[in-house]
Order: sequence, then structure tokens, then C-alpha cells
Amino acid sequence: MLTVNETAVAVDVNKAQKESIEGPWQMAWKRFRKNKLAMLGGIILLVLVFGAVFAPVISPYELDDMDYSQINKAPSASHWLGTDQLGRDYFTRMLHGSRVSLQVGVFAVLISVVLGSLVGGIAGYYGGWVDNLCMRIVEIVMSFPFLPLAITVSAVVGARLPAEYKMYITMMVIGFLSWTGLARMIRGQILSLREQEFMQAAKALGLSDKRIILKHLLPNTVAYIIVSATLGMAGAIMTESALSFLGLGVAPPTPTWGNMVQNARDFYILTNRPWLWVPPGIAIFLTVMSINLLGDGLRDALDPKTK
Amino acid sequence: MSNTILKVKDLRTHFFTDKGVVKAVDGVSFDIQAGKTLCVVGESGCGKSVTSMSVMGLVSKPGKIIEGSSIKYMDNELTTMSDSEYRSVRGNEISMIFQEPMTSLNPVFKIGFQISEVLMLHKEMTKEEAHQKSIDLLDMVGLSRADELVNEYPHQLSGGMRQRVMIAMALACEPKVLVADEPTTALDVTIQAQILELMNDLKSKTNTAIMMITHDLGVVAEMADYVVVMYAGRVVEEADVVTLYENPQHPYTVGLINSIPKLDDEREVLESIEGSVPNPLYLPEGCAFEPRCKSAIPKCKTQRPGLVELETGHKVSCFVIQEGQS
Amino acid sequence: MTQQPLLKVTNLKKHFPIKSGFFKKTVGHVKACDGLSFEIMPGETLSLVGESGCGKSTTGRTVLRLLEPTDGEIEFNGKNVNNMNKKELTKLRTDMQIIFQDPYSSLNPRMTVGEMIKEPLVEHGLYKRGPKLDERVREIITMCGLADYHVNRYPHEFSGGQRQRIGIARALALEPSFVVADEPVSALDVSIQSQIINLMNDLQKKMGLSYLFISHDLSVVRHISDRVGVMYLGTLVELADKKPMFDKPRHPYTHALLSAIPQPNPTRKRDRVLLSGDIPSPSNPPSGCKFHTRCPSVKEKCKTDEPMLKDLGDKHFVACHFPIEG
Repeated sequence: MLTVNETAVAVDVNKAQKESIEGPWQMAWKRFRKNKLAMLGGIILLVLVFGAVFAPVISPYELDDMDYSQINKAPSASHWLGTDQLGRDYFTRMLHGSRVSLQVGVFAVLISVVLGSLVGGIAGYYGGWVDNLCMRIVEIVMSFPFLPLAITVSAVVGARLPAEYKMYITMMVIGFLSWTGLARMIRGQILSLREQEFMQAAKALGLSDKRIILKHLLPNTVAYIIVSATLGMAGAIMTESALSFLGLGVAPPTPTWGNMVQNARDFYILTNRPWLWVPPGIAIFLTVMSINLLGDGLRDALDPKTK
Repeated sequence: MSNTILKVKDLRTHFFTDKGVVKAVDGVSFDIQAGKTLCVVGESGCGKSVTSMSVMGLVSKPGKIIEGSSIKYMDNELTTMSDSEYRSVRGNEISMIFQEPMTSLNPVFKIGFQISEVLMLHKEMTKEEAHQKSIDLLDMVGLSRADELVNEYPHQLSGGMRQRVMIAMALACEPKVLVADEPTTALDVTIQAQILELMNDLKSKTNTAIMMITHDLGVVAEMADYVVVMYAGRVVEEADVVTLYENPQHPYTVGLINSIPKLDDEREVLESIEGSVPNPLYLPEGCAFEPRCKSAIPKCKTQRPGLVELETGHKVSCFVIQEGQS
Repeated sequence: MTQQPLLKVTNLKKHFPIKSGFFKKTVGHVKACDGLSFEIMPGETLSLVGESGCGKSTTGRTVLRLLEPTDGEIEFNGKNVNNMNKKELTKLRTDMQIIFQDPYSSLNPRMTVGEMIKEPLVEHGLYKRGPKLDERVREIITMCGLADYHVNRYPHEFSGGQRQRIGIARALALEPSFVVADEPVSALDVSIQSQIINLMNDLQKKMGLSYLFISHDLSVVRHISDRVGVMYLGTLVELADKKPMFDKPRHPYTHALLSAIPQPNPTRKRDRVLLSGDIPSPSNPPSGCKFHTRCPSVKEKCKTDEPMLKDLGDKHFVACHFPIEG
């Protein structure tokens, strides 16, 4: 029958069936691939980004090409999306508009991710009065009413700078006002991670604070930052569109989907020239939807709760 | 035996996941006699919890009880019952208590309400009658100040007290079978002793049969009348409690009993079973325990042993033992 | 010749403030650890046992200064630990280590086994990255019962028992002389528990380790300890060598605790002492002897005077006004 063992070696019974070594990132990628909707979102986004990056190359016309003989024409073979009141090709404007919208989205999110991670990270890790101070600052920023502030900053700063800089102002306004949600989330993440025993183990092993933050804390928060950033982009793009629609974001002649939708304010255009406001509206919808699908898919794939 | 009130035959509960089919329970049979305690014992992943969930009809997607399984309660086939029919059985004839006292009571309702709910639903009592009966039940499970407790919320009670409330709720409708899934695992040793004593007490008073799931062989020795040992979804040995401890036959049972540290033994080194439980997605073709078994013969790798009766009431699922007998 | 104790703890206290109200005023304290004194000799295993709320885990962590002590003295190898600055404390970590309870949260899910073991060796400057380091890592993990090829695997690919081996390997990488083991086998299956206990005993002999073994499971404690300390609500109620403690406990709580443990022997006569009531909260402990509310032999004096730990002979310490006769 059974004999006495001194130290039983952990025989890996299933070695034969073991798959190749899978790190957490490979596993996440596998999970992501299975999510058809997320993949769809990713592909749509890729197409949009491609269009934005290669806009100058792809567009059939120059951005400022005004052809007075072709004013307000409906979509045709030569102008796929028709022309606007100044004879400019609308398809070209759409492509260039995507550049601005996506750029603003990306950079605004970059600003808010950096700010949010920093503040949330410091608050979560150090706790005590540092945490208190950071969170009170977060609350103050959060309580600013967004639109009035955006309007004010835009108006005041925008008046002193040439129109081209409006894009950068919009980026900064959105970025500096929307980092608070991320800060709170990161702080929460870090607070819960700190209680995990492997963090205590790192401390018990005598590792330096720097090492603990870089090697143990951050890698476990990166997943959440990625998801937040992705979803934040959708918000930033929508905000930019709204601001530009109101005339407070990027101003013409620089095209952005937001200020192109502005055309719909005119009742005549609304009813008679749908090609002027429907395409940018659909474009905003597609972009935001694909980002959300992608972001959700990323969240499901990266969530470490699925062991 | 004519006293059988619950008869499980060839129960198969499989989970259909993206990674494959997990055969959590793969051909389990046992009988529960009126007024007696059956303990289902095994380690994690052996399928004992899924067995109890199957009996209660609480298995949900992606799990499914496979065709050919039979769970008969008093001659009524449970596996083919409709949802509403099953609901009238659950809580009423067969009730269950769970492992985690901290999360198994609804935190937003008073204790009294949670017990009354069961009574009003199954026994069609009025609110006043149910309220009074709740107080009596809390008294029966050894809680002092029962009339005050009915108006308190779960968070005001300790783990041991909550478990008593759970038992009160489970016994409210005087069920014939009480399924207890690791009821004392999350409790402290001295509280566990109180609860086990209570359960034995109530069993003799109300003549309820108990099906207890546990991994603790000490608890089994205290509570069981007869025992079913499970491994990787199958039954490996079945016997009355004294026989199981005095004369265990299956290599797994022997290994298990020998590896637990006991208070009164003088051994320096504990026996252990090499290796670990097989991945439920990749169960071996033959006997599930073969990879870890010291006495395996070639037959064990390719064929699955069936449950064979060695002597009355003592069944073992092992080729080596069965061939040793003949 | 009297040997110097490796670890000497005197009157150790750890109180957690309870904050309430808008200004977070401190309204009370959870006295997790309330005046503990004990010694551990080189190569010895002292176990701390007790139920929830007794403060054993807190004691383990405070001894290592993972939690800052509120009061009391900790001496390691003759040096005072309380006053050490950051640099000295970091150096101390190479000599005092800890193994955690939960194999699922004590390993960083994003690091491979190899990295986990290399990290402390590199960070403390004991090894430089290269073939020598790799060799050392392989040595450590095979000593703990894992295989060579496990270095490149991530924690999620291992079972609970294997993860615990990784945790042990990580703690022993620095070759400490003292290890706090905080319930290292409580989260594991029974057959795996014995593997890990055997491993720990083995390593202790090989490396000359001293253990502070924290557990609620007295049967496990009996196998690994030389001396045992029983805790109740933050204080030691009994501290003695293993054999006298288990054969003839002198404190009523120890006696009740031992008798409450279900033993895997169905024919054993159950002469158990059932304690009444629940364990009091450590934020509001009873006056006098903390055990008086549940003690079967309580007398008037017990309600007002707190008993001190007294040597009843042969280094068998008991904190009780009326200890059980030896």
C-alpha cells in the first residue's frame, strides 16, 4: 500500500496536456480575440485612424480648394460627399476633420491619464494626509461646471490667440478637466492592491519603495489605465464635437466633425442638404461606438478576476 | 432499505465551457435514509458541492444534469420536474444550508422576515402565525432572546449565530432532508462544536435526514451514520462510518485518513499522497486516481472501475481491491 | 549552558485605533495584541494558536515590523528591533521572513516564479544577474519540491499546494534564520497539507530554521511544534512544551479547545466541553480575565482581576487564577 514520503515532489500530472507558457498578456489577447464585437470595434477604429493619418494622401482634393462653380452640390461621382457653400469637397473635409477629432481625443486623454495616474497613484500609495489633500483637490476640480468653464476659457484665451491654436486650447481644456474620474479609480485600485498579500510579501522581502511601485504595483494597474484611457477617448471626442458645434471648440476653417455638424443649425440645410450634416454625425457615432466596443472588450480581456 | 427517502442514481452533471466539458459529477449514486446522516467527503474539485446543488436543482448554465441521471425524492423524479414543481419541493421538503454565514443571509431584511417568508410561502401561514413560529424556531436552535432577534438584522449577529438562523430557516418547514454544504468550515473550532452538537440534537428531535458535504474527516467521524467518498466526480468508496475508519479499502481513502494529523498520534512525518487532483478538463480514461496510486495495475489506466459491494453496505470502486477479493 | 534566544518578545502590544465621526476622532481601540511575551530558541518551532480575533496573525506581522508595534520590545539575536532605522531594517529582512496564508493572493500574478525568487537576491546585493543566480534559483525551487521548468511559469498555472511551495521558496531564498508562517496550510486541501507540513519540517532540519507557526488547527500544530502558545483576545493564556500542553492542558480555554476538535475516530467517547456564547469582540474585551464570560469554572475573582502568565513548573506558563490540576 502507500509508503511514507518525506517530501512529496509535486508531480505535474497534466504536463502532457500543458499548453505553451502563457503570460497574463498572452492570455488577455486570446480572450480579446474571442470577443467578436470588440474585434469589430477595433477594426472600425483602425480604418478611421488610417483615414485620418493618410488624409492628405487619400483626399481627392486639397482642403482649401474652393471651386465656385461647384457650390452646394449633392454627392456625385466627382464629389463623393458633395460640396459645401464655399465649393469645398466635403469628403476631403471629412477626412481632415477626422484628424482633428482623433488628435484632440488622443491628446486630451493623454493629459488626463498622466494627471489622473499621478494624483491617484500618489494618493493611493501614501495615504494619510497626502491622500486627503489629493482627494480634496480632485473634488474641487470635479465640482467645476464643465461647460461654463470650457466656454469661459475658450472665449478668454481664444480671443488672444490666432484661430489655429483653438485646437490646442480645446485639447487642454478637456484634458485638464476630465482627469478626476481616472484619479479616483486608480486610487481605489491601488488601495485594494495594497491589501493583497503579495504587496506585503514585497515589503517583507525588504524591497525598496521604488521597486515595489514599479515592479509590483504599476504592472497590476496598467490594465485598468489602458481601459480607462480607451473609454476616455470616446468621451473626449464627444466633448470636442459638442464644443465645436457650439462654436467654442475648434473654429472654421479648420474642419472637425463637430463644427461640420454645425451646418444642421440652419433649417434650410437641415432639410435640403443632408450630406452636409449626416456624414459627420454618423462619423462621430461610429467612432464613439467602436471605441466603446473596443474598450469594453479590453476590459473583459484584461480583467484579472478571470483566473 | 425501505426507509430510503432520497435516491440518487447515476448522477452526471457536466459543465459545457469554452475550454471543454468539465465532468464535475460523473456517475454518482447513493441513498439517503430517513433520520440518518450521510456525509459526502472529498477534497476541492471532487464534485461534492455540485452534487448537492444538483439534488437541490440549483445547477445553472453552463452546467447541466445529463440524461440518464435520476434523483428520486419519495418516488418523485426531480430531474424532470418543472421549475414551479421544484420550487415547491425546495425549502419545503428538501432544504439547504450553506457554507458562508456572512453572505448567505440577505443583509437588508430582518431575521424574522427572512424566516417568515419561507413559512408564508410554503405553509401558507398568516404574517402573525409565521412571526410567532419564527420566534419558536430561533428558540429551538438555541438562540437566547429570540423575541428580540426577530427584529434584528444579519450584520448584528456573529457567524455562529447566523449559522443557527440559517438552520432555523432550513428547518422551518419541517423538511425531510437537510442538505448542508460545509456548514461549519468557516466557523471557529469552539463554535463549530456548538453547531455540530445542535445539528445532531435537532436530527434526533425532528427525524430529518441530513446530507452533509465536508472535507473534514473529523467532522465526518462526529456526524455521519454512513459516508460516501468522492474523487474527481466519482464515488470511490461507500460505507458506514465505523467501517470506513476501521477498515478503509480504497487507496485514496487510506491515503486521506493517513495524511491527516491527529491529536493523539506520535508520528514525526505525515503520510501524504503524491501529486495533485487531476485537471477536470482532462480526466484520465481509466480510474481517476490511477496517476497517484501506489498499487495501480495496468488495467487501472484503461478501464474505469465500477462500484462493487465487498460486504453489506461497504462498496469500493477499485480493480486492485476487487481482484484481491476474488 | 543557557542559549541566547533567537527572538525575544516582551509585552508586545498592537492596538488599532477605531476612528469615528466627522473629524475622525479615535473613539476606541481594537486591542489585537495586548501584552505578549515569549522567546524562541534557534532551531525551535513555537506555534501560536487561537480562534478568530485572538490576534495571532497580527502578532506575527508585528514581530517582523510589517506592522508597527504600539508598545513592547522585540529583540532579535540580541539586537533591538523596535529602534532600527530603515537601512538596518532592510538588512534584518534577510534574516527574518514570512510565509503567507493565501496562495492565491500572495504571489504577484504578473511575475514568473524565477523572477520572484531572483528579486530578493538581486535587490539585497547577494547575487548579480547571470548563470550563478539562475543556478541558485533552480537549487531553491527544487529543494521546495518544484521542477526546473517551473521557473518560467506564471502563478496562475499552478495549484494551491504548488503556489504555497513557491511562497516558501521565495521566503527561504534569502536564507533567513527565522520564519513566521502565517496559517501556511489552512487554505490547502487535506492531502496537500501533509505534503507542505513535511516539507517545512524537512527544510527546518536542513537549514536550521526557527519557525513562529501561526494556526487555528491544533492537530497540525502538534506535528510541527516544539512549544505551543494559546492565545485568546490578544493575550497568551497558556504557553508550554508540546507534550504537556496536549496531554495535560492547565487553562480551561485550552482544555475546551482541545476537546472541541472533531477527531477522525467515530468510536471515541465524546467528553467535550462545550463553551457557551460567542467570542467577544477584541474592541470591547471583558473585564478581568478575558475568558471569564465563557469559562465553565468561572469564579468571582475572575470577573475583576486579570490573571498574569505564571510558571507552574517546567516552563509551563498559564494565565489563570484557578488552573486545572496537573
